[in-house]
Amino acid sequence: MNNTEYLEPDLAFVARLKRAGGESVKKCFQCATCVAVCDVTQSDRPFPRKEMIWAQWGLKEKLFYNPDVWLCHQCGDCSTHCPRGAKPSDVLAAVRNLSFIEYAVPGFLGKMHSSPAALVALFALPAAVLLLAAIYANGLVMPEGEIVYSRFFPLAVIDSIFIPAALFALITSILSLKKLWSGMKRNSPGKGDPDAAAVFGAVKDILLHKKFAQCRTNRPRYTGHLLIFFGFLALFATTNLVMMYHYLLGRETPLALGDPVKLLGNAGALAAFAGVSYIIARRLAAPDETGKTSYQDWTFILTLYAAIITGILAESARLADIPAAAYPVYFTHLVFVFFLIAYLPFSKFAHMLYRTAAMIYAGSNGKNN
Amino acid sequence: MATPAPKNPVVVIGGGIAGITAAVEAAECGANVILLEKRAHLGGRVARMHKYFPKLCAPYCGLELNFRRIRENPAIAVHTRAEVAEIKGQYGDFTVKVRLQPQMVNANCTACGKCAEVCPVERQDHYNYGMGTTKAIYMPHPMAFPQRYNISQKACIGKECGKCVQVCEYGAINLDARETVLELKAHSIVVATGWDPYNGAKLQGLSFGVSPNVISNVMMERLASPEGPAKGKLVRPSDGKEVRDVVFAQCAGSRDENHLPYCSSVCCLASLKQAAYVREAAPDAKIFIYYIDIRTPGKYERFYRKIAAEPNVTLIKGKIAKAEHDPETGGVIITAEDVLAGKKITRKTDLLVIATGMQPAAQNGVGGLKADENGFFTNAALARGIYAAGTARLPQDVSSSIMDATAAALKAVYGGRP
Repeated sequence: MNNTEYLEPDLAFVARLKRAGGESVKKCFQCATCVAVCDVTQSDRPFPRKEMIWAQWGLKEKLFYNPDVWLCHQCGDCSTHCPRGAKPSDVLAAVRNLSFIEYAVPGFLGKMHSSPAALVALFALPAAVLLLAAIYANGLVMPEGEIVYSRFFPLAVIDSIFIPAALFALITSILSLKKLWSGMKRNSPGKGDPDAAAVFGAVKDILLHKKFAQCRTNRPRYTGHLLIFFGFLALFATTNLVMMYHYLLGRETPLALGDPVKLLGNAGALAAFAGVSYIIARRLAAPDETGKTSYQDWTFILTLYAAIITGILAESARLADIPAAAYPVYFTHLVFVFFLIAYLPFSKFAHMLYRTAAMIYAGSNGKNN
Repeated sequence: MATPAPKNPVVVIGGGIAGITAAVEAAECGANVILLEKRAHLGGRVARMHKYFPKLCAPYCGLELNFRRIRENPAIAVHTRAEVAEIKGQYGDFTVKVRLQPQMVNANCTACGKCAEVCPVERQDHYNYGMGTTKAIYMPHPMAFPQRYNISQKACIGKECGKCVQVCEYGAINLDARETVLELKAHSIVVATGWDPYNGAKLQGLSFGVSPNVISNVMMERLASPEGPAKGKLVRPSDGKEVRDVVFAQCAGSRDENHLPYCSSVCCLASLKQAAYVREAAPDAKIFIYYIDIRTPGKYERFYRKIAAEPNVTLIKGKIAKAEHDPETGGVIITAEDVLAGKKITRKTDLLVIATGMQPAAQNGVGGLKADENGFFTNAALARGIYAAGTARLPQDVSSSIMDATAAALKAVYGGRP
């Protein structure tokens, strides 16, 4: 037979997957209840039943390089209805956890992000860099008088750290995405070139949170994710607008509270704070509905939370004029922000890259329902 | 056999096929037998089946034979409307306390039916699983044993009506009858309390009880029966329209830790059998059976092959986990994955038959005897002298239940270890 396919079961991978949050994978008996109750899956080659048998057999190439694992939004409807407690949504989440490591270029950063032992080292880097920068900029002496963060860290110093960090994230993101994309082309049928309609469709779905809205079991996450998503979009825009103020208009921070850019930033921070608070509360109160929360989930969620809270506290301390609190908090805030930006393709933050890529790939290949 | 017959009678709890078999076999071994049935008539679930698999013959044929064996054997006493309240004692000397519900219709009844003609109250026909109605005084079906009418206490208005009493020429009706309590001595006890179909309404998303065209497999038996509510014509319950397309959903509750964690063992064969009903009643109708695995062990494999090869019968691997009322056609829209084709499909059908599994009828125990976590009685957990048989012990088909009941009868008479 010329269409014989040789499967190479990888039992070590199955064991890894179980450790990464998919310990229920072997309970699946392929009844396909999951596909029937999933409102997010496409009809042709639907998920997650086929992923469950791939996972049981340790067919990691198929799992990692197929857009469907990323089209899953972990609604949990499959796990709710699963007659065996095989929890497909947790298994697919575990595959995604391992995917962050698999796609990562350079690979060691992916591994570090899945290992609690490496967490201190990952935080030590930005802490050391920012400490050196602070020594260079102000000899670690808190400026006298009115609190102005740009007198502690001049914008040029900030930019000389954060622009390279962002460029590093950008380049490694592109390399990691390329790995995913070429893998998907290798493994799934279709031409594999993105088309404009698919890009437009994916962006529209993401902005409207269309898939989240189709979830039933974990429906509340729609609200939480929407708040975080648009909160961070607002904060991202604020950061860029502040740079434009500085370099184009010569307007310096801190901006007045009534300034439109300041309003945008504050609104974004509050929305993101509300969203992350809600997500954390849900994960603690209703783990049956949110699914398992892995190490990567917690690291990402708590880093986000820490960045938002230190940001809000830094602004509050500045307005309350408490320099002893303001400058250390601001410093901590920058450490968390660095962590989020520089390590973007290696932490769970990267879900936005891979999910978007998978949605575009699927859309381009006629798999978007 | 050299062993003398036991002094005390063998008490059999449950008058379905297993209980009837145990009673008859024990009596024919020389024991005195008391057969207790909580409903008004014997026959249990089997009496409500249209046909048996794999021979597709009518269960009433075998039931009639057994009823005759009961009638002709003076060693068997039958109490209907009898519920076991308490079991005490030990092997050879049990005491069984039985509550006899008011016997409002006595043995004088000739089943002439005049009472039902004058009865002003309609009730849901439980015998036909709620499809149709009967009067408050009713005969579930023409062959019922004992051959006498029964009064639904819930539905009957009582003496202030009394029309049935006036019209009965045989003095068979006494609306003043009261509950009585019997204390029976027993040498040994056979527990044959049988099964109930799993409640399809608990299966979220299958629209059972929402759409009238979603029916359970036991309802399908009644629908196919010439004595049933549709007189054996295959029509949609919602509007009586002829059925052109039937879908069977296997494992409706079974093999599901949220419902019945075990395989009910008969539903695959039951659906294949019902596919044969459809083939006979509507040869042009399309039939689809959605399954996780088709389980037809042993020689039943042949029956599976036979039905699977029939024209218009399609078996699809993939469980139906969603079914919705179709406002456009009045039918049902089912959703499943066709696993072997790798496609998620929806299909419009006229009739969805959900193959609901077996739930033990006495899942909370009987007379103080405890059932296991799934509601079954396991012999190892019962005291010596008490033997479970049929579907009270594990899900099984009729022929296995009969063998099981025969074994239990022999142990009950000769004092076998569980």
